[in-house]
Amino acid sequence: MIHRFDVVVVGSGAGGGACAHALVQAGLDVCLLEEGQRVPRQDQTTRPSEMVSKLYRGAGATTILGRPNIQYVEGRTVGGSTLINGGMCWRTPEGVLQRWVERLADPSLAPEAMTPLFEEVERENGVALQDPESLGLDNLAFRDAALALGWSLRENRRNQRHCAGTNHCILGCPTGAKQSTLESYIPRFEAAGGTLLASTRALSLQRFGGKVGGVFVTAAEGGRRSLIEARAVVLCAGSTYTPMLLWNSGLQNPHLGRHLHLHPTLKTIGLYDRPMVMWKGVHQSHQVTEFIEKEGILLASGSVPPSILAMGVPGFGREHAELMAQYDKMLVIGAMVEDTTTGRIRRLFGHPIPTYFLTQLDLVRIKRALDLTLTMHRAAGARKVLLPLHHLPVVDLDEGPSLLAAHEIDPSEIELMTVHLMGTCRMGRDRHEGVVDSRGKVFGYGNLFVADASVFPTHLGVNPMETIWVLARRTANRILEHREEILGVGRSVPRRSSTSDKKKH
Amino acid sequence: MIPVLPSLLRALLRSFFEVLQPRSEVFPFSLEDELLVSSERYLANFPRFFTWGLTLALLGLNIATSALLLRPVTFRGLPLSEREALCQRWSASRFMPLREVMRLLKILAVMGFYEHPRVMEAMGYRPDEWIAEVSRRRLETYGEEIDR
Ligand SMILES: Cc1cc2nc3c(=O)[nH]c(=O)nc-3n(C[C@H](O)[C@H](O)[C@H](O)COP(=O)(O)OP(=O)(O)OC[C@H]3O[C@@H](n4cnc5c(N)ncnc54)[C@H](O)[C@@H]3O)c2cc1C
Repeated sequence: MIHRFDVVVVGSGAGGGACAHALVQAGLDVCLLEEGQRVPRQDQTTRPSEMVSKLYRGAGATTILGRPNIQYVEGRTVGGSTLINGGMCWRTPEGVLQRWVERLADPSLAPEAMTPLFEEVERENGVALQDPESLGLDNLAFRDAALALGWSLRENRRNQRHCAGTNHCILGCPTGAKQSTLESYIPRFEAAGGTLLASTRALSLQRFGGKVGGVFVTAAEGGRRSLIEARAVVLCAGSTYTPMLLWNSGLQNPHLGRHLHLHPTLKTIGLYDRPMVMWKGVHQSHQVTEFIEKEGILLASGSVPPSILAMGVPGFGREHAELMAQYDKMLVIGAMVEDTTTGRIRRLFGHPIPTYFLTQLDLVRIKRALDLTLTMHRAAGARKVLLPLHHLPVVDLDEGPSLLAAHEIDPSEIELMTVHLMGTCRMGRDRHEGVVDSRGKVFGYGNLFVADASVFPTHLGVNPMETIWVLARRTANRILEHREEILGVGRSVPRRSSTSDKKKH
Repeated sequence: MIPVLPSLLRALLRSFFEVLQPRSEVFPFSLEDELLVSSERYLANFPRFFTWGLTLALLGLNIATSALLLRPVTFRGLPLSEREALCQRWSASRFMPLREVMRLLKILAVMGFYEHPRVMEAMGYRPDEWIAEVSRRRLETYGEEIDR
């Protein structure tokens, strides 16, 4: 007899992990599908080229087309982007939640109503301040510069259990301290009887009228297509692939793939006379919050291994090598800028192609953000700063601000990147406003849901993972509260035991 | 198994790597062979047509060199200093696809280079030692709590 799951969840990142875990804990028979492979802690090495191939979509070479092109990365592994992220945890800002309440006419999104959910996911994911000994010299230099400037500063809360400061967050976590879903939700999901199918790609959904009957899948490396039957499906494939899955299943909605927000991010690299040794200590210990409210700019330091940093160091050849030889005396300061426009996901030969064009206002903010990073570098005692501008790659700090002020930034010369793609299946009051309702149900379908970063109706201005956990939990709760209606009456199939990394269906 | 890159692409890549990551005072060694191996590994992540596209693009640049310099030469045949000047020009080009090709070449060059044990040693970058040390300290200090 063909097995039919209560729920199939597609994608094992922030949304998928949180949702699948909540459903299985409530006694449902859940299958979690993940296209990427499972890379356990002991197989996570310090070689970026090896790890980007295993953990990142497109081996990390993914681009948002526009002016300028913006580099983006996302996870493609069991744990999704949570395995390669920095682990900074932010509750959704109250102002953002208020806007959502008004926009969606849903008071259950109000800050007071959401607090218990935040507390719950924080407990589940070990969200806490860093142990002081895990801070490195670069973290302290960043903190002290902000304090010297009198800027408000936030000590980061991260999902970690006594993070040791190995600073390999972007390649996984060799100690397992970072509570990516690979370490937090997924082991508990499996222990409770959930079925994880890694290296398995969802292709499309089986639909009949306003219902879905399951997910068509294939092995990640290709092969025969088969159907995994389900009473309900939750898509958590992230902001690029969730819209693709809906399109591939024939779903039509004018908002699908639109309203892409991405928090464009730039970084500057300060050259110092004293050691910073950025590879010793936590990835990010503090963030400057002084400019979030009024200017939409969040500043943070962030360190990466030399072979990754070298890609963003200007020039090449001997000049580049001489700069890279100062790796241990470098401090990287990043600035994340709130979007003032949106992009979209387009389809090309079955692949998602994100596009995004900066506005004039974005450029003004980016210039301001660059200036703020220069101010911090000066306060921290830098000699020179490497800028992400093709036509002004290096500034001496004595002349830096005036040089930058006089420099007319051409959008095509800036090197930007992002790790926060959001909003391509946004929540709305009805299908004229969005793709899903305020608890993740796809308009027009009784048993189809989305629970990942794609449902955000606006950008956040802060790191999104905790918001995704909480929205995914709301979606899981909605399924549980209406289980009779959503899953139908005949769901008495006993839960199966866990089977990891199955490739055959 | 990692597919071997076509010999034409290897030769073209080598002529760029000599410029992008040359022997220098701070890193006094040439690693072009190693960079070809690491490029082979990295490019294996992409569909076949990607490698063909890269070959065509580099071949195009190799040939276009004579038009740019108004004399019958290829990029591969130029001395290092002239190749360097061309790479500078292409990297700052207003033509986005050209900048993207140069960016990819830089990724291939620096990824292999800065991961090479000799380079890591020259930089004093020893992440595995550091990880072993702090992991041990973490277990000593918080082991009981972590086990719970
Ligand atoms: C380098 C980096 C650093 C970051 N730092 C932070 C931070 O410090 N704090 C923070 O809050 N956020 C951070 N983020 C962002 C955060 O990690 C993401 O916003 C979040 O993980 C997105 O959750 P998601 O569920 O939407 O998608 P993901 O976590 O990306 O998970 C989607 C999963 O779906 C899988 N998938 C896609 N298509 C299919 C398919 N067809 N079939 C099967 N599986 C599929 C993918 O392989 C992937 O594993 C960072 C992200 C990155 C990449």
